[in-house]
Amino acid sequence: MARMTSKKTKAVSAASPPVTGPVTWLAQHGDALYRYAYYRVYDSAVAEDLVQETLLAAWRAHDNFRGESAERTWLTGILKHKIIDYLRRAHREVALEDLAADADAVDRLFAQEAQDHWRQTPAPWKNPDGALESSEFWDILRDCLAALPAQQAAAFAATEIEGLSVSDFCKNADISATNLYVTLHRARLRLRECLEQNWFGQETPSS
Amino acid sequence: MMTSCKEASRLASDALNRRLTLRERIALRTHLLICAACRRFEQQIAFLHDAASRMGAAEAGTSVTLSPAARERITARVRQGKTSPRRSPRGK
Repeated sequence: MARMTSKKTKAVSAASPPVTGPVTWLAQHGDALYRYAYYRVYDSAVAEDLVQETLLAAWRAHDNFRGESAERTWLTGILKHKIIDYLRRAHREVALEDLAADADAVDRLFAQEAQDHWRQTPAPWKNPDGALESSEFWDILRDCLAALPAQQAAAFAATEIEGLSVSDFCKNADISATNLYVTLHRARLRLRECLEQNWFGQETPSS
Repeated sequence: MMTSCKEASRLASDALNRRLTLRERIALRTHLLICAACRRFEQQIAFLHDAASRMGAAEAGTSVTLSPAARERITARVRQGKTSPRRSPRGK
């Protein structure tokens, strides 16, 4: 019986169209779907999950696929919904759980008793142009991005790295422009601090 | 009312993504005239803005692909046809 099953799966995976299913879709469109997701969420683990969920959802709904659109277009359409769900969830969960904690993280940088002046003044950065030439610098920037809360990483990556417009991002994530500006401000405060601690600020360790 | 460093840093950040109103521009410029820390912040986030777009240009040239391990994992999962437990967006 087990042998039968494995034979069957093999037959499916080796089959060329018209017998299609999640395994063939993965083989034919996996990279394209992953790339699409990655450039919207900027987290490889999340992008992998989104591809997987898309394939499963497509399999459950494949009776509805009438071949009016190309298979990849159909799959990308499903993926798009999964990404929007993810971005909404990221923002909603933050709104519910961590908005206060996140505001604290910003407040920690400013001294309220001194008219919101910097608690720790941004240090001068030596040779920032030189940093751009160093592959190590890019690794650190990537690490700093990965350390951001999910909704900040997604917002910064989509608008700043990928160059998605503010209105497109807000439409996708179902947030207001003001909400996005607040998020980007927080992301920049954190990224700036992270780069200073890990790249620019070695000569002046914080006391 | 004087603009605080917190507010000025927010305006400097916003200025990278939208056109500030005249009032906001005046508030920011006035603050920057007297505040070296915020001038530095403004330069540093401008650098970050530039670095991010370079990163985008560099990444657009490379091909982002599924790793073999991820491909294997997803294949196994879709063969089972089960939905994976939802990853929390904050589960990093």
